[in-house]
Amino acid sequence: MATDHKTLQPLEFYKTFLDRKSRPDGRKLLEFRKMTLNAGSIGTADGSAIVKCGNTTVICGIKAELAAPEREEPSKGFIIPNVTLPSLCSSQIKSGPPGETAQAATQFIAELVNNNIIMDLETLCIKVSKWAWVLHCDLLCINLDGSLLDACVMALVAALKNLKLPIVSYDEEMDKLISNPDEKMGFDTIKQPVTSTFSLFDNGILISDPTFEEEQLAAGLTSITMEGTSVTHMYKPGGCTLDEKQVKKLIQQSELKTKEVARLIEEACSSSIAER
Amino acid sequence: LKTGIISQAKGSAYIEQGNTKLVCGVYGPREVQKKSDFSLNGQLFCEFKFAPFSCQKRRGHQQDNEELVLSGLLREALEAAVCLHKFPKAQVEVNVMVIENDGSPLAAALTCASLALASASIPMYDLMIGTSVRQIPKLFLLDPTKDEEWQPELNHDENNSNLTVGFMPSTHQVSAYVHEGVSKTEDLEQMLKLATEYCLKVQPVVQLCLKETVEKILSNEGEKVDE
Repeated sequence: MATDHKTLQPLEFYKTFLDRKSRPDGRKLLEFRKMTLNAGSIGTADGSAIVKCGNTTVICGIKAELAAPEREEPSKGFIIPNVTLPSLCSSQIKSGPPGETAQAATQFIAELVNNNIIMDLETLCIKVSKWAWVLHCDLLCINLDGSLLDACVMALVAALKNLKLPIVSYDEEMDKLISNPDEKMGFDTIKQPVTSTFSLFDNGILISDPTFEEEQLAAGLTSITMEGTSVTHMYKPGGCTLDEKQVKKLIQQSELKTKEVARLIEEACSSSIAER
Repeated sequence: LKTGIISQAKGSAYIEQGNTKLVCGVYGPREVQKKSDFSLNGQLFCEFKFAPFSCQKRRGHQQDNEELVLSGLLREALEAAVCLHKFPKAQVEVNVMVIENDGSPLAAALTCASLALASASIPMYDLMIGTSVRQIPKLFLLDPTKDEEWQPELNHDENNSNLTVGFMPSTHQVSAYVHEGVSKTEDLEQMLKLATEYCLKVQPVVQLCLKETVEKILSNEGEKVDE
């Protein structure tokens, strides 16, 4: 009977839960799902991480290449993010060229990268104007159940922390790069931004970490990226309005989530380093 | 081996064979995309994809030729195992994603896909197990890793080949047989025998996983009824 109501009138079904200040999966309105993080499990990638936010699962794999830096920015390397939503992640996604969701997510991550929110691109430079690292960061979602951006950012940050590249030095006289594949180095200067996604409903109700169904039913969506206690990026693509009080509340919630995620990333990275 | 890894899919499975990791999602039966193709039997649509970071050399995002060939092989093998006549005018989508490739991706995909199909309650004749055997002069290697696999550019001489077999243990039928390289006929026979013996050994593991999945589903249903 409950499932019939859910299929016929999903919004009404959902509103009955919201009136009682809870959600179908038993969470409170501003509670986020359990998150698990595992870093360094993929041997063929130079850096990797697997993140699970409830059911949403995102795998980040980083492959590094060498290239010449751009002329306008000769001391910066490249981070090329790419979010892929293959057709196995959800029944709504069809195979073929990347759809709207994937492209929007890729653009979001690219913005974070280009504004030096995650990592200073100058640390990727080997020789100014000649050689720099190119990090292809492929974020693969294998299960889409809402909060895609949160999981993507977490996976990317953890994979970057986990990244180990061979030490490369530039020989001026011979104009060549010398590297020893056995010596590897990581990058220490990686910041830890954490994104929190919230769904907005018309009557001023805010819920955090929405599932796929909740995202579909919501009137609007917003994602706040924070680092420690400062907001570094805010994303609100259209949708209904938000007033100042609501924004403050969201920032408070994001802070809580940021602490939790930072702890998870520390645990995951230190355990993977210990294994090596 | 694990099932239920993709909550959004009708059925899904994850397999780790040594370092080779792959995940498979099954959706369907769904309406066929091209309404013009009317057929009394159901159709199977397979997509095999390597993640960009899964191999030593980074792969592109579009399906390249190797993936298309593997998709076709997977589809032909699974068509033998699935009762297509049970869902006419519908199609079942099988999506395989290789997360890390350390040899024998097709063999792992065959096992994983058949487990995912079974957990999605798609009617099947039998489970399918995949194995690969590598032949080098004087030796047979079962389940080779990437370094041990046959490379088309390197190994041109006699008695050097790779065989991937898809085997249905209960009915003792071979539904996929992919051979690359040069071998003598007696060696081929022996490799097939090795592969099928191995599949029979792996069968209980797959069956146990499926049994656990069914038990879990039944206990979940029981809880729902109580509510």
